[in-house]
Amino acid sequence: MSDSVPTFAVVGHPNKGKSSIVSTLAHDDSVRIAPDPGTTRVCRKYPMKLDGRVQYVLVDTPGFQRARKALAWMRERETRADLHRAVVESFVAAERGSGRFDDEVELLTPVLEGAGILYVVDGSVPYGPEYEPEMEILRWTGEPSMALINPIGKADHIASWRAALSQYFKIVRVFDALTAPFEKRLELLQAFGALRESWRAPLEEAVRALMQERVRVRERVSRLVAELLVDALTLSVSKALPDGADPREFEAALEREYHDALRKRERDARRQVEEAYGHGEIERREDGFDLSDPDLFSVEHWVLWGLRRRQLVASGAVGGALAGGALDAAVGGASLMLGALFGAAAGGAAALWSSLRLETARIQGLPLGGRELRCGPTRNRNLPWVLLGRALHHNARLAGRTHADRGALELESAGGPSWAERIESSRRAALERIFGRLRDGDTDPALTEDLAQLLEPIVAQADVAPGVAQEG
Amino acid sequence: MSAQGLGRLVDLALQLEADSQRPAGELRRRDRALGQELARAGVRDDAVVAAWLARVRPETRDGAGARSARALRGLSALLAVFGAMLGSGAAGALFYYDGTHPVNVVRVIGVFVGLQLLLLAGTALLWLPPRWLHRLPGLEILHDVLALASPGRWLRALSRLLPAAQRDAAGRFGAIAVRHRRLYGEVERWTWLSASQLFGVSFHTGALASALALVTLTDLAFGWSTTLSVEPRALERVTHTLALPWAAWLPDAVPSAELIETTQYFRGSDPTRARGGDHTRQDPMHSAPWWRFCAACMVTYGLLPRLVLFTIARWKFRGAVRRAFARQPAVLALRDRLEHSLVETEAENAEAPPAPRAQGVGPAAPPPARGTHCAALAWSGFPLDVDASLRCVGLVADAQLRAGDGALADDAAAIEALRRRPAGEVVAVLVKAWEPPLLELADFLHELRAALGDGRVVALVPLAQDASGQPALPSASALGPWRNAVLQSGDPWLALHAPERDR
Repeated sequence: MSDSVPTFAVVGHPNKGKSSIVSTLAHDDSVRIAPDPGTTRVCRKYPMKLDGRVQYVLVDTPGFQRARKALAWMRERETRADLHRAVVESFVAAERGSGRFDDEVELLTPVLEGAGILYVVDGSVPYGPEYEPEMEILRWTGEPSMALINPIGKADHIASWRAALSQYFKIVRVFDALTAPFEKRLELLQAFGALRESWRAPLEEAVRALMQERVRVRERVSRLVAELLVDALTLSVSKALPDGADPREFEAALEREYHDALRKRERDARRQVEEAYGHGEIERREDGFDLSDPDLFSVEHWVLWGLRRRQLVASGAVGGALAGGALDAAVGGASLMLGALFGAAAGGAAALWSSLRLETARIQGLPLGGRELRCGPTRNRNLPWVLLGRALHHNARLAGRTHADRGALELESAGGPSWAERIESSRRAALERIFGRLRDGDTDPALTEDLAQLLEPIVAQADVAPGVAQEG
Repeated sequence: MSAQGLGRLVDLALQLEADSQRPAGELRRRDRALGQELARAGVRDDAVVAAWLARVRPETRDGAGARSARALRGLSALLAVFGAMLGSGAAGALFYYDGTHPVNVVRVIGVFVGLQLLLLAGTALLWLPPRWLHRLPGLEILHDVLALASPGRWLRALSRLLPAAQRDAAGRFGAIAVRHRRLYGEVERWTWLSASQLFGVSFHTGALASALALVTLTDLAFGWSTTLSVEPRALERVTHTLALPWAAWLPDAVPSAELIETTQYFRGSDPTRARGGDHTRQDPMHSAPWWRFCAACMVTYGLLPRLVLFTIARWKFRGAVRRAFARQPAVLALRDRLEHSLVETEAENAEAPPAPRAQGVGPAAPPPARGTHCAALAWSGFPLDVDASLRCVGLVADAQLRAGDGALADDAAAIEALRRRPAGEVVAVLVKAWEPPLLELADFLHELRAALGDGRVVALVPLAQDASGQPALPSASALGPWRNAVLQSGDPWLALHAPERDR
């Protein structure tokens, strides 16, 4: 293994979260994590590559299964401390393929090839002396090492672990692989640089690249959310009405088609956002948002996700006042600011009225004769805010989720101000202006980009304030 | 129209559509490699997307883009020819003179000025941004009706005359444009609006050419006539107003009051007689200023506005193509892939399925009954009090031993001690429920079975530790790996002793 490529073997007892740590640090949820010991039988490498150049490699290894016997084997051949490593090497050479120490041979191989040791223990269970043989074997290899206390459960035995580990490892850190926020993961990677001086620079470059990549992820997410909003605001479905047909016969089916299309679009966007964060298939838990319950289209539920009525009225009034103000300016103030006043009143009233219903089918004549029943595009002011609130909540949940977390993604709101409500008022007004242009049929393809740029700082809040991301 | 630009957009749309079906990782790797290649070649900014497209989809004569471009050129040419023929025909009809009735200037003004001004108003409505159409009731339907009558909309009908390959290429893009109307709607709109203006330019060019040809090659006489009661003074005011744009530098193209006075005629009377019964002959030389006036009207109110509108429409069309090319979300995502470093952290290979460790899967022995006396063996640093632990699971210890935490020889001694115990005595192996069953324990149990022989029950007793450090029954999830270990041991006299926790 080249000295210039930092390599880290994640080793330890079985079922102590080695694969979880690798999964979290490698942002890879294909890592198998199972309660049965021995799930990992062979080493698996996770190279971090920057434009194809390997910056560092994480190696997931099988756990020690016969550490006491392996140490006994080595002690039988021990001569002097300076030959400890040679004894470990001869153990690996002698026992490879013997079937007696498959796991030990497999996990020691990358270490003997020069990998730094990341020794993982579970800080939520009591320390036990049966760990000592494996720590001793690792010490005999002479490779730089660090101990990671990964508290899998709720109980706290970190102090006793720290006391024991400090006798074998110079660096002991606590790292919760399941809940570690992004910054903590980067901090840990940087700390790996302390193991060997020559590894510091490539690791720092890797950390910089990961931070930049995180910014890219936010940009991608902003774009995906913007596309969702644009599509939702411009979505329409229509049906040509046969001559003499009663439109009421088709209304319900068409409205259902419209709602289904909107729901599908939201689901697609969620899958794309999850992909942007590098997550594969995630089970989502969204109480009250399945098709049989009142959901996205239930006005009663909107208060959870969108803007409250007074905020909607305020945003509409600001838009109206701006339009009216332009009129006042055009007449040189001769209107005594009545334009702005009436504009604000009209805008607020329109916003209030439009929030009361989503979209119902309406009939319109066709230029060549005939009639068409059309549902959408929606004029409802709150729909984009509801979708935005839900998308931001989903994003926050993902931003705070590690790849070791295999549970369902909890998406139900726990009350409190919605994400849409937390957006600062000036940005909310800017967003509302774009929503208005979209509602009015503006077909400029650059609107999506404009919207995405406005959303970027809001999306980034999930990382800046991980506490908020955890909030329900 | 910039058919080439549209052709590149068609290629881009088709490529992005195909890419949307590919795995994201594959796209990232491909595009980042191309992005680095383009950066080395010094390709920057908006040129990057075009250069990328040229590499992933090399332009060929038979490509969809090239065929679409040819289709647009062909349709534009057809529309131009059709417009020129129609214009020529219109001029031929209006400037028809068989020596009986002179060319009626009022009709020329009506068609080449009045009608044109109406059509320009219609064009203005068609060019309104779509979002403005909702602002006035009825505006949208009026817009749709005008759009239907717009010559640009004939492109679709005319496309039936194209070769099948070009028709197919245009159809593929059309299908994408319909699916992504927001992305390509402006391009589609300015395609037909430009085509309409091209038709207008061709119409007026044809009309002017035809009129000038008639003036040059035949002897036309001009006059004016209308059913309405229009005094020559009124017509003079109209003509002078219309002639304002050229009156200063082209005075010969402004009809004089005398000419207007003398060239009015009525169809019922002798056409060669002018107003007031003057028998002066209406010869071509006398009415010559009229044709100059008519030609100037055709240029000023027909051809020039259409040329201006055509230029603007072309500019708008190119802008729409450029914006669709550079600013649609999929292109921004592409530039993200092209221009930013590719960060990969995932495993290079898929994980191999776990190999079964089990020697065999068989039914476990039944756990010992409550109150059974046994020999207790604390395994691998079992930290809890043995008596208390056994009480917790309803067993009684007749002997206590330890193994798994000292020298290997100690394990052998423990096995020997157990072998010497009374036959039929249950061996209870106390293990930490919070630790997984390791192969070292499996080895020990295997050696123990060999020493004890068949039939003697060995019970694994996993125990948890409560907050006060006392033994406790483990949770079902903690027992799972232990249950599996017993089932997979292949030892029919190995039992799992794990009484259920009180609920």
